[in-house]
Amino acid sequence: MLRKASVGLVVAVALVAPLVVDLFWLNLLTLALIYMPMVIGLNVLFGKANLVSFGQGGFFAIGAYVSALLTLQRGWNVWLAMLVGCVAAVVIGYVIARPVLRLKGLSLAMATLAFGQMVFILVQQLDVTGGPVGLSGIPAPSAPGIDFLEPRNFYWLALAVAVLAFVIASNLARSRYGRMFHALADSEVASRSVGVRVDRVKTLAFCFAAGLAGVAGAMYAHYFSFISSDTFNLELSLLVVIMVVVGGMKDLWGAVVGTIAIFVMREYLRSYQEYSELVYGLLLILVFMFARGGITGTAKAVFRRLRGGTDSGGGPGAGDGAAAPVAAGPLPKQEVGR
Amino acid sequence: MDQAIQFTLAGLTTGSIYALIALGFTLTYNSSGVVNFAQGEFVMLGGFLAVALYLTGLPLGLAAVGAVIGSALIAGIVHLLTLSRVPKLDTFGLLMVTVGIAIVLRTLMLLVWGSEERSLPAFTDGESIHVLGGTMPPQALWVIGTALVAMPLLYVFFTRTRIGDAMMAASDNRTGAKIVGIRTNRVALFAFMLGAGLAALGGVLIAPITTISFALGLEFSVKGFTAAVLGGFGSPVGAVVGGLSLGLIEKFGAGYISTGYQDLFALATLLVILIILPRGIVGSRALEA
Amino acid sequence: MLRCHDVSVAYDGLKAIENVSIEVPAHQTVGIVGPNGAGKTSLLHGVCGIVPLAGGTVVFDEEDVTGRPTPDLVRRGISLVPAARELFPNLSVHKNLRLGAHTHLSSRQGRTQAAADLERVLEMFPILRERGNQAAGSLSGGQQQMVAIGRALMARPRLLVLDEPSLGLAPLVLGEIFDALHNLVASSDVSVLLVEQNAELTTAFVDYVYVLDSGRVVNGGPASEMTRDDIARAYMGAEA
Repeated sequence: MLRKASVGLVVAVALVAPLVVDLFWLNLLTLALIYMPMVIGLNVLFGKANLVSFGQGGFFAIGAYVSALLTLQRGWNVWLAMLVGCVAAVVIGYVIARPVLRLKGLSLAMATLAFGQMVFILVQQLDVTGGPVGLSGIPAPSAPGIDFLEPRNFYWLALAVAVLAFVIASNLARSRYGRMFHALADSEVASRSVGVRVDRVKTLAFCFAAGLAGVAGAMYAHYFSFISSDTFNLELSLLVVIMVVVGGMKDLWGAVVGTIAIFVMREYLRSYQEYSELVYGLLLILVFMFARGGITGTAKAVFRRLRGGTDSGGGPGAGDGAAAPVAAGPLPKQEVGR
Repeated sequence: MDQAIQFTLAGLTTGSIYALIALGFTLTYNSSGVVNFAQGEFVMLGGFLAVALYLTGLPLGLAAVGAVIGSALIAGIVHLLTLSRVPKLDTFGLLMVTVGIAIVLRTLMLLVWGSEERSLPAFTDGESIHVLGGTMPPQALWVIGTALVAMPLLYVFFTRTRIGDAMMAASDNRTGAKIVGIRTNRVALFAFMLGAGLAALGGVLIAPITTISFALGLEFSVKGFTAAVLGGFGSPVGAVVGGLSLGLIEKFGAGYISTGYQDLFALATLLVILIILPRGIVGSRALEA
Repeated sequence: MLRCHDVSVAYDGLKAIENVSIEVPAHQTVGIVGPNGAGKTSLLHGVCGIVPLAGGTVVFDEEDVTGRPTPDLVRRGISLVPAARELFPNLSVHKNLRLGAHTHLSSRQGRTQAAADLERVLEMFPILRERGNQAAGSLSGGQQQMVAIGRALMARPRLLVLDEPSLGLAPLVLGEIFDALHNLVASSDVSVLLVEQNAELTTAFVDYVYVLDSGRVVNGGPASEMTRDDIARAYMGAEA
């Protein structure tokens, strides 16, 4: 009940926000909402299915360029182009999922990183993408009676997409597949032995994350009306990982909190652009050293403590407390790698 | 044919640098389970420090040595502040901490030295050297020569010294190492510093050939990791073989196909090797987890 | 020499041993017997700093060493031969043994001593001389156990801690190893703390026996006075 009420409150605040904030903050929040589906997708992949990807920027780029090129060169309807951009990301995700998902943990992280970087280089080098010069004049979506060039309208559109992504993700997490994700995260061997079709479940999670990154990319392209290869570098993929980790990967809300927190922080440090990078780095270190649960995980642990709930055998220190429930990271614990 | 020789020479030069970085990866991973994503940043740090020291008027040789030692010391401080404090973190957590370290280092370098590219003068003047119909700048000889000297030295270090033995032991069995009285946390610290020092050495060596810029670190991390995987992760011989092979793959790809796609060949190599040949060329244990 | 007072070890909040107190006097051999899961290994691991203690104190040579890391304890003179042996499988037998003397190799004197110690270990287990250049991981179980014991001795311990040395060994090899241990104890003043499931083997070897069951010391006495029944009772559980 309380939970439903607070979710309602969050949505209500999100809905009326553009009526009260200035243009600057509106742009910031819109940007956060555009990225959010990508972060939600990685949160599911990472937190639920225990699979890492350092290459989400690649899928983001695929969504952005496919949608932009279809509208610019073929004159497609923007909505349809965005949908196809998303589908393209899913298809490519599916193609690489087969070979790549045989890998785990670190190898998987580096393989996906390689994929993301390959997309980046292609985008940089191919003629059709315009490389660093980029593509400009990408049209905004249109609908009868709604002008999406009006920033507020685009904000609501981004909000709708983000909410949709969140709802689908949370349903997925609660579905049969979600439970399979969990089983998988616990023990792949055990899951296999009770009949979970491990490859299929993994592929599903991977394609889901790819698709959401594609959607985010398409939204990005049509919001800015300009894209160039510089946007889609390794830093983008790492930024998504940081958002997931800082927000907290064991809870879908972590994706929401993480995205907004990072964007807000970036804005506050706007005049010291370099320092914002410094803060990302420090955050990443601090989260893994002291608060593995990220913002949401730590908040939950603190909340539990305040309510006097004694989580059995909970570790010392607030940070450790947060780490306890999520001790199993996306990699199996191991001594030295053998 | 001349072209092929030219590509080979260029490939071996770049490959030597990759081999040094990959050796650093291997060392650190073997002795402490840390895959140090900041390895490439130490390449840049070595280059930047060498330039800075050289500009204070130090002779080039001293500046180079100072840069390598300085980078190792900075790596030591970084390790003491971060990784030393979380000895029980899992491999993924450790990797993420080093990603954080990479981002912090890179930003600090940007703040200290700005975004312009820097370079060093060549270690020795002179005409390009002709080898079998190809040409190479004298600096390339320095690069290959230093790598050639460093590797046997490392071998001796690991098989003949007490600390080298301790590192080998820790990489073979961490619990076993503790049981014989090896302070594995110190071994981890030392391995991290040595790895960073090797990377910095790479940076000092290429500073006269290419340029040093804060933005290039991540790329070197990826290249070094690729070299290590290509050769066989965890194997020092593999690191060298992988490094040289990667250099050749890149230069031949760039030469015969397209310069613009040079990095694509390296990445494709990484992806393909991870999937079809996870044990690498030398065939050490596969990279687990 | 070693006194453990009210030692507890817990895994994930579950106590494996609780308030265990044992003592190993100087130049004595002490055995701990008990059924599988009694907490014998947990006790040793707690004492040797492999796992953290959930409570209690460990005093070695009148000095509180509670919670000290394993490498520190090795320097103070406690060497562990773990049940899992924990050899360096890819390194040669020689290298394994030499690494046992790691804490002494920093001085010239230590190195000379280590060379002599190595000779003694090779006399103790002659087969290891033949296998010197072979990778330790390629040896048979019994030979690996010999390397593990030899490696521990290379550290010149004053207290040798042996965890289930009989595990998975054929009787013949086992006899060989225990003969060597007998000789060792007779010819040096090393103290031994031996954990074994094999009670007969233990009582024949040690001066004093503790019986551990379900994480507690349930009995204890000089090995010569412990009857089979005393020990069997522990194995039968709460037969009362």
